[in-house]
Amino acid sequence: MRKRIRVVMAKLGLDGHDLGAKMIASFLRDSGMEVIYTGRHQTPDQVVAAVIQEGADVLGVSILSGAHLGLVKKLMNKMKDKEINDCLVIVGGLIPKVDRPVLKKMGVHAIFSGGTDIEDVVTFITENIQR
Amino acid sequence: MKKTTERESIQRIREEEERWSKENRIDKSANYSIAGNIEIKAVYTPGDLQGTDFLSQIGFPGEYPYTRGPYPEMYRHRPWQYSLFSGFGSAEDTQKRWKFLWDTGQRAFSVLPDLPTHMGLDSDHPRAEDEVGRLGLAIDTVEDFEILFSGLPLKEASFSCNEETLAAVIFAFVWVAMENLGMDPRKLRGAISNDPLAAVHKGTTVLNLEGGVRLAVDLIEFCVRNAPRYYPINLKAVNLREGGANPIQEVAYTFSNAICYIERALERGMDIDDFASKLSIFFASNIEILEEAAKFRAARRLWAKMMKERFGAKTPKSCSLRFTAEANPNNMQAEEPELNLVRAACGAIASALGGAQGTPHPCYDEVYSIPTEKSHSLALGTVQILAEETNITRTVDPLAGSYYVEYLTNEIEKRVVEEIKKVEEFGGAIKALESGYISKTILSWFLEDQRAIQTGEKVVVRRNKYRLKNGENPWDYLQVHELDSKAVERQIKRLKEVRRMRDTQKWSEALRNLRRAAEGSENMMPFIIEAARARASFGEITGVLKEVFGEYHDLKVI
Repeated sequence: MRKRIRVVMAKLGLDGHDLGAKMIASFLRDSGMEVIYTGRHQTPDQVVAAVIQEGADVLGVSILSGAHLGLVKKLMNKMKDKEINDCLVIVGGLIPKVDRPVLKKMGVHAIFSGGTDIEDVVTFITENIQR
Repeated sequence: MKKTTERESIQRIREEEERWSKENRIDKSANYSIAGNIEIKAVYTPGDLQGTDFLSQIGFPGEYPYTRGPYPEMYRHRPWQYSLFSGFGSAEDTQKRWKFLWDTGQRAFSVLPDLPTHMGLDSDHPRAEDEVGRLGLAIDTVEDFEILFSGLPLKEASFSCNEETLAAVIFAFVWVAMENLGMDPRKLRGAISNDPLAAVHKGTTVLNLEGGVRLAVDLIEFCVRNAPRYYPINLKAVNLREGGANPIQEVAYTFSNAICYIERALERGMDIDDFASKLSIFFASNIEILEEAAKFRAARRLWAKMMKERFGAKTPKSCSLRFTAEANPNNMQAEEPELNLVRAACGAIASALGGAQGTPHPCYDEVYSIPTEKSHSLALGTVQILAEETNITRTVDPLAGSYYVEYLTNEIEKRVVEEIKKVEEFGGAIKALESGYISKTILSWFLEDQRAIQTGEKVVVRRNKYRLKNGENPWDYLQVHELDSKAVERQIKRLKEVRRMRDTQKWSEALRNLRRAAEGSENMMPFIIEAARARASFGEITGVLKEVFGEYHDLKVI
């Protein structure tokens, strides 16, 4: 039997607006996934440590502060340092269109913004999970 | 002619309502349920207000229980205070926008600090990288306020600040900057959030809750004695609302927080009538106009009763609640953002009908970016039109006497009282927050609401109904505010320069004295002011407080 998909949901940086993260976490849980929430104000180091500790299949990062380019870059570098290659990285939040290809280039697998249909997120995860 | 008694006439009205319902086949099982599970009928009559006494429960504006407003004539002859806040980049950038708002008719300078400042981190702290000046004004030393205030007509305007946990440090910086600019801080008008308990919902709680509350009450005490025109606490109900709360939770938990601060102040030997009139609230107004207007009327009445009956307040001023109310930013949507002008206007109508003293107002594009000059102008113009073109201010509390609104006012008040009781059963606001009860209750309501949006049961135009087939992507045409990297460089350079130039001995002595005060029980304000004079930075002062009180650890409620 396949084990349940494990998701680490993280708030990266100083932004405390976590309703979106909590909402997605709750909906993913409803769809049968196991979700671990890191809490707010996480540094890239803390997030990567949580991914390793929890053996996460998916990392969901929520950023609404506009600081995504700098923060995600640090996060992805840290993921590479730790040789984590089998974790699907999803960024959610306020991401300008021009920044999307930049994040993708850093290794982010998908970007979802406010108003996204939750089914789209679930479908993306189940179709792209690397295990 | 036989004179019918009130009871008989109510009985007759109820019978008629029953007849009308039957004849028109009104399906009672199809009643709507609004926040807090208040059931909404098709029609309301005097039968729904039995027991509501006009003189003691509704009465006249400017008189107990203040249901209709804190002032006799409210905004018949002059508008309420327009109070849009702004803050970005460094002091020079924010001041420019303030001047624009001043020129467009706003007589309040209101600032939002950036995230590092909210968290007590200096602009050169490693964790502040990427966030300096991005969502608010970067504040590091007194010098930032000297630049921000220089040349501004602060005598004719008020100064307000959205800072929950570290308001005392901001106020100290303002105090010293005004002294240095030859202005008298004792005459300052305005308000500062100073509500670390509400910060839990925004994620800007820095100190452990006990320490945060002590700091907050220190500022209240200091202002009551030294800056009597200033509102040293502006309870951030809006944080609860932006954190997902419904209107009943918003009022109940805000009042529970107020009770906590009031009790701490009384424990110090302060007299309720010395400071009750200095407490104010910053509410949110959702798009549901009538429910929100009723909420404000209920809140004012309950506040008056609480002050008089629970805390023994004697002066009228202590019993009348004053508040600002901002259309809830959570109502702003990403799809066709121009429609947010309408949503925000609905919230502002609720604030006006509910009798708000001030109206911050969200900008239509804030889902995408912090406001441009243009979106600020549209926001300010919206509340100016409401206050000065629509005539809704020409008579006070125009909704009074509406069977529905009076019924809602009663129901909301009742439910708020019940929810406050639950918090008290935990032992008050701090314990209820630390136990996770409040966060869980709010989250459970929020998720219920979001599920209703996902299923389409709750309509959000352009998102889950009436979608645009070939709509333009707003990122393609909106003018989005860009962070000026030069402002960040300028800020960090200025901070380093202040650190280099200051008298190190005075600086370390001031911080040592602050630590001693924090470890004891003295009011910390004079020591924070002294540290500000010695050019200690925001992060350095916060660092001392963090070491003494301990940091707040976020509850991971999902």
